[in-house]
Amino acid sequence: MIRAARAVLLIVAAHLAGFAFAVAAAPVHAALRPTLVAPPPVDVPAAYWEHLHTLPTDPRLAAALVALGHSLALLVPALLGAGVLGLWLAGRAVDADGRIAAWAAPTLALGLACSAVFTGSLIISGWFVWAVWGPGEPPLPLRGAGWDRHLILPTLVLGLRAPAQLAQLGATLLAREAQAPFVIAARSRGMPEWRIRRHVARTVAAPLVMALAATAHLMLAELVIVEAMFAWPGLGAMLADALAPARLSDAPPAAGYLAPPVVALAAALLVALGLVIDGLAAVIARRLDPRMVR
Amino acid sequence: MMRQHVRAGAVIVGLIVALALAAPWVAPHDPLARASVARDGAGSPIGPPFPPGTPGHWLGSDRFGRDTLSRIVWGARPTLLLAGLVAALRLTLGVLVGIGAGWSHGPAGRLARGVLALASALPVLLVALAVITLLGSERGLVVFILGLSLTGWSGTAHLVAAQVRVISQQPYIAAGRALGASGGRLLARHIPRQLSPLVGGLLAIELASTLTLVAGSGFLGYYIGGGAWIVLSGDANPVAARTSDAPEWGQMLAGALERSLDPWPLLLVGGMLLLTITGSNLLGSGLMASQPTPQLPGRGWRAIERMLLALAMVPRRAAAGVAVVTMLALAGGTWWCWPRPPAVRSIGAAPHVPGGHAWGMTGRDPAGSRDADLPPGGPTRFRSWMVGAPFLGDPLIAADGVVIAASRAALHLLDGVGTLRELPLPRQPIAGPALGSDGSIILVDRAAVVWALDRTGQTRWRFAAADRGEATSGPVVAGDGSILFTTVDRIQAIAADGTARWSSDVLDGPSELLPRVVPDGTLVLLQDRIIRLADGRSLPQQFIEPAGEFRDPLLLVGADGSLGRRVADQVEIWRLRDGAPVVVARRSWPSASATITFPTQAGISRGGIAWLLYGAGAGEARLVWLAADGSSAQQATGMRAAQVIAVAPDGAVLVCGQQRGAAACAVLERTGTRWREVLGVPGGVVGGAVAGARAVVLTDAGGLVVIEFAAAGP
Repeated sequence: MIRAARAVLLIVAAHLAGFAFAVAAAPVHAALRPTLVAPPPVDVPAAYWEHLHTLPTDPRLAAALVALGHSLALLVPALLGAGVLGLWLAGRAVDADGRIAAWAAPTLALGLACSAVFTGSLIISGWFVWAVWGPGEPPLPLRGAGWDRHLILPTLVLGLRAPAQLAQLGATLLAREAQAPFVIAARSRGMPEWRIRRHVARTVAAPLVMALAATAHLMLAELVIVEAMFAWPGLGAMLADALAPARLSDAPPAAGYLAPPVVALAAALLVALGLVIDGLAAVIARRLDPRMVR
Repeated sequence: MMRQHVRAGAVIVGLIVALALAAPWVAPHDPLARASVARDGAGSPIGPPFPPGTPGHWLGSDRFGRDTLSRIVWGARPTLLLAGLVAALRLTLGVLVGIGAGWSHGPAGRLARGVLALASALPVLLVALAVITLLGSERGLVVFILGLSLTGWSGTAHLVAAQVRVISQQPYIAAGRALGASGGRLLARHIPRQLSPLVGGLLAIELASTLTLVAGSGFLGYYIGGGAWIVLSGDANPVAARTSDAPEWGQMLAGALERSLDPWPLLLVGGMLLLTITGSNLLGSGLMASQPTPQLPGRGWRAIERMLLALAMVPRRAAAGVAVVTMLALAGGTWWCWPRPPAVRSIGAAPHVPGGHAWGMTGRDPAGSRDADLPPGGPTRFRSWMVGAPFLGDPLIAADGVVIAASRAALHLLDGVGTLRELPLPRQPIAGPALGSDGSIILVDRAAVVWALDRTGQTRWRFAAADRGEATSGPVVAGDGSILFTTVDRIQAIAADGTARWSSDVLDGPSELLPRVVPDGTLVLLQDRIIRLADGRSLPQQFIEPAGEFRDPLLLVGADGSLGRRVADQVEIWRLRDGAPVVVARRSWPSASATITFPTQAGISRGGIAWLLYGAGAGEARLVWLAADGSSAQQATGMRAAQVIAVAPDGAVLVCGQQRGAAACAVLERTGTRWREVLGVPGGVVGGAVAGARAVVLTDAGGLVVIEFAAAGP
């Protein structure tokens, strides 16, 4: 109960902090950009109170919830794909005696270096090169939303780094467990290899679930960039529009640019998403490994 | 095998550090310098972006002409400094919070676990951008270091907390407790030693995470130092793009995406980032996996342990004192960094005329302030002379009181007893003359030849620029004696002795406006450009106008030393903060219904009152005053084609123009007209000057009028 109350408190705090930040940042941005007119001073508590009152009927809340759905559409497959690929890589990287394969360290180090900004930029650049000098428009769309091929490129960029992170941790855990006394004892007593693996899997499952949660946090952080890059109308793009100043002098700022309700909603929903991920991971980990209850 | 990876990682990181250290010797160009033209392999001139393989720019340039190789080489420094410092700070925070959360079951542990939960819940990029925005990205690297270190350490803290929890359940800890060792002693003796193998690895992972985060902030348009606006097109409504200024790899990568069809910069910069992150990952993971837990403490470890033990033994009151001091330091730091409205700061003393002359050039001084102490009373006597040719620009009043004026055919010198001498000029000047600091009379002709004469008409020196075009403005003499003038697309500077200084093509199009020199002698303002007087280069960060909106901006220097900018009907006060112009105040008046044209002249008086003269068009000219307190006033001048001749500190203006075909002058105050007189000479007024108790006014029909005032007013 206390944990639930703390989570609600955190979400409300993130909402208020997002609101206050947007109010405080607007004059700072205006002062730095001569083409922007400084907004009139805002009484934050009064404005926040008013925003809370109108929140249930505010169309921006509905828009944010739709955006949350779009973000989940990227997050869930990316996380599942990263989980499967990461675990497969970790299994391949460690042999029965707990030795890590020579290819694992450089491959995983390189995988960890593939940030969304870099891989996304490469894919976008490759897409344009293909479209202009190649056989025609590539089969996968570059921008926009849709529950079809549109999902592939953003999900790929979002999920590219996570398997490396998961595999690195998984391989370390598997290597350690493979040399644990209970494994040596089981093997010396002639227990079949698949049963030993099942035991090992039970002991490393809980930390791996926690690692998956950490990976999901990493994806949440990169969601802003990936969605902005591929014009995917999720929470990340909403936040990017609310925070990113115009790059060209003649481009007007985005509609939600530094709009306090937009920043507040996006921040609160992202925090809520992170807390849900953490909560789920903790529950699953405890079911898998009773030692984690402390 | 693991050792090989550690070695490979160390070699990669070592090479990149070496590259950063050797940047001044390796980089062929200034990383911020923009080249507008280069020659390709065949020798033909090409514009930016230069492709890889261009002679002099072997890795090409960005679309602003900044050399890619130089930016990559110089970029290693801020990249490593930023990533290294942030990683170290995050590691420190993560380890401290992790130890607290994993070790203590008391209030400290609960606090640490709460902080950890908060830090894990908040999106790292969001917190970083919030801090960077509120503190101002213009403050440079420090703000990015603060913003990026504030969260993002939760991963490290979780790992450390888990590790500490495991250690705290070990039998030797229980044994220590049974023997009576305090918690602090156990913590100091066992935890750092057990955690030490993790540190290298965690540091490398933090390094990689910081580098990707900086790239993300650049992608969202948050640049170290605030970034730079760079004009993309030179037409009437220039469009400018914001881009990274400091050559930092993460932010350069974000900028490279703007050229989707040219993947070179992306591959080069991205490759360097990939290499650095891979190297640090290899080094980190290798260190974490291969380093054994130190069992036999060496001398260094013993020293650290002794220090930690001493800290653990510090009495609680002292610990509370340390905590209070830390909180005060944090509060002080926050107060220092917190954004506050910048004060309007004068940039120095009021502008002065080089050589101590009373009126040294058009606009009186290098700032063009037209500052003068107008006598309080009305005119007592008018004396007029007629010459055969139209006068050009303002007359000059030398330190000894001699009035010097240029007409199209000759130079005219009026001494104190009323004798007007005429010195024929070999060529026709384009505008009014200026007085050099040594008393030379400096003139510029249409062919951009500058020459200096003495009062007998002898030429002291003559200067003809190699690349001269058609001159568009007369000379301005800066405080250091340099002479500035403009040609069709350039601004030229020559030294006081007539030798070349620099010539700069900062102008987007022809400008007939006079350059205005900031009193501290560092900057020249020309139309809407800010230029360095030292080398004629444009400041990297300039004011940018929204395209599609004509606001006719004009940069001003006030007679009070303040920096101003007239945009449309407003006057803005600005100053430079970290090399970027920042508007600190705006003054406007309800102009929409009153005018249809923009002001023809504007300025700020010594008393800080901004003034605008709406003198264009066939109608009567109007004066508007905008005070610092937001109040405004306006007066009709009663004249056509009017010109402001001089402005007093209180905002009183000597304005001259045409009234029923004859030249006329008046002194207008915000509250009314002090006096108004018709001068009795024909033509329109082209200029004037004020010194002491007399004013000199010139007309385009060759009339020179001296207005004398009573020494004291009524």
